[in-house]
Amino acid sequence: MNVLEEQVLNDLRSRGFKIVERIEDGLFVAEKGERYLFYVMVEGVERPLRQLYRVLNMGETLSTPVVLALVSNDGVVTYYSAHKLRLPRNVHAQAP
Amino acid sequence: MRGRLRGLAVVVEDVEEARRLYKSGFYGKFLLKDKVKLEEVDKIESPLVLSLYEALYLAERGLLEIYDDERRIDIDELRKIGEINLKNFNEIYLIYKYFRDLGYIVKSGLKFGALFSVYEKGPGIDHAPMVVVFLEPDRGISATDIARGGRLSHSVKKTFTLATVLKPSNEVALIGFRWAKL
Repeated sequence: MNVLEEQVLNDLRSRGFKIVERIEDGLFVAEKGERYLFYVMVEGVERPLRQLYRVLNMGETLSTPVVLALVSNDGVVTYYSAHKLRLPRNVHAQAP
Repeated sequence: MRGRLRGLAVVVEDVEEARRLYKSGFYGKFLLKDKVKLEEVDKIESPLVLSLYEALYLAERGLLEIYDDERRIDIDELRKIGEINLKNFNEIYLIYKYFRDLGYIVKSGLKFGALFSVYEKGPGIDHAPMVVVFLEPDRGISATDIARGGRLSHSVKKTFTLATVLKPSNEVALIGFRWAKL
């Protein structure tokens, strides 16, 4: 397996996560109290936006928050949660 | 209301009109004055400078007539000037309009290193603006894009929004990102 993805799994285990299911390369569900859908993004590898959308949609379908695991070329991991944003009408908007 | 096109911005010279526009949703910026609070507006004597996005939005809503010296500039011509001079003008305008139509206040994001800063109540009132980063249509997204976006936000919550326009539907798509402490 990809060593950088392995780094992410190791990092999560060290934080007390249990890997629940590997969905595909770079996409898996892990659990610590709550379940999260993790998507690995390796530094320098560009992903089409529709691919990220597919992951966000999957998270919505599974009712699981999506976390992007950003992994540097040398295996340092940073996490960002991501969600499709649907803005409500601004309640503070002044009447025109 | 009247504005005069001067290069890539529109100036509202009439002080009363300038005050009215600013009060009706923080449109524009008073020349040489920054972060003007609503209660200070009536003391301001400066002209108001509108970005092309603001001017086009107001013109489309019939709230602003734009002139170049004495000639009237219509909406199509204004749009053309934007397209020629500003990269991704049409897509960025769609994003501007998207937020404005929902009642949000949209200002330049330059000082945050982003596209727009978006406010619920207004600059100087909101605790922290929503920092909106533009992603060119059909471009991919990378780990660096996301980490960089996180660095732009003022707040420790490190929330930022990525905005793009989906093709061919021209639908505005927003994704919110937040640094996650796991």
